[in-house]
Amino acid sequence: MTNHLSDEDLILIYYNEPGVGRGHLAQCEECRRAVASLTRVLDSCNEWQAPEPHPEFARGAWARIVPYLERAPRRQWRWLYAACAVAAVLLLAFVAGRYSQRPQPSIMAGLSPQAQRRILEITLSDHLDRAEMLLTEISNSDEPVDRARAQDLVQEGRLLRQTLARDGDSAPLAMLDELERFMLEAANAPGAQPGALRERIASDSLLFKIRIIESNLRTEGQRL
Amino acid sequence: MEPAEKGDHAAIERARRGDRDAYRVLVERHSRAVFRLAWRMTGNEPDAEDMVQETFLKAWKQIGKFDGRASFATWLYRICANCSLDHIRAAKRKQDLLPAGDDEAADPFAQLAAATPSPERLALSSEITARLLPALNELSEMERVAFVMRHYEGVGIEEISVALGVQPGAAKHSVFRAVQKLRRALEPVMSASK
Repeated sequence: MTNHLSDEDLILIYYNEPGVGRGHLAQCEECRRAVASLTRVLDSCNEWQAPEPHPEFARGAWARIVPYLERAPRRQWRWLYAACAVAAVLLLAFVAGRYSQRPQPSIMAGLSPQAQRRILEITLSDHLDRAEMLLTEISNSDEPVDRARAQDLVQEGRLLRQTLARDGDSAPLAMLDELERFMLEAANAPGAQPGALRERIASDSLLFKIRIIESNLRTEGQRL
Repeated sequence: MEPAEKGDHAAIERARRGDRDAYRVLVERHSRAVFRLAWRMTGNEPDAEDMVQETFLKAWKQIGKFDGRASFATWLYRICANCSLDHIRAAKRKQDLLPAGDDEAADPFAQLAAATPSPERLALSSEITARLLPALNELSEMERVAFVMRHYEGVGIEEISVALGVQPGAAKHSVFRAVQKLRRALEPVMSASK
């Protein structure tokens, strides 16, 4: 009989895959023998059995990964945070140079007052973003406060506040002052437990105040 | 939709929103199957357990990208296969750097196929297994993944193609080539045992 099944057809038949007609097999002894031969070979592969994991394997697998589920995003966030912090400090240093009493060249020198103002607003907005994230974490987590981040925000906020004060921009100053005091407390609190800090965030409406200033900055940015 | 898949769907949706309890359900449901695939790819239990861990960590980070075109299990297989292939490539690179004669230490399949008795090796001491393992080791990466998924995990060719990101024809031919190579290695044993 001609038109025997190809090797590929035999493999598809063995694995019960669609796309091959099986009608020919009923009439062709040679193809039935070919299927039987292939079946013996492929069935023999089943002698290589994977070890059966112990009954607690699934629970153990979870136990092995769960610490990293918590840490991985935080670790990524820390890198992002560090990068933002470095960028903000550099930007602040440039801005501070612009307002320094000493006559020294600044990279802001060639910029229009409007552009300088915009850079300051972006820096302030970035600072508030990161402060807001830390406050949100403290408000929603029982983990110890990240004191290093609070300390960074203290230093950065102080520099920003001085710059804005020299520029005569008083609107966000009170907020920055309040935020700085809170961050100081967070950075130096013994044990840095979030309970008392969380109460302070709520009672002083810190997050709400930050969001109002951010909203004002966005509106200002759209105007410029 | 199979009941397990239906259950997966709800857990996946919750896990996407960061619900770790939901993700735990998925890990506990699929970790054994992922382990089996990883074991067949790497050839030993410690490495397979590492691959399970790596697979589920990557899946957690990427669960937002799971589009449901394949089943969740198949999606995990894809991640596991890629992790395992990276592991095998790294082991091969290490093997290339070792002095001649030390290569067995870096070749998991050679370890399994070796004749020195140990509980694991004794369990794999049949002539078929002794021929099968080196033959599997000779397959290309694509052939090995496709064959292991098709033969041992029962994944259909269409789904293998989705999992591996290749055309169905390419997945099919990988399985065909793998079967033909294994057949050449095993048929002499089968003929002799008739």
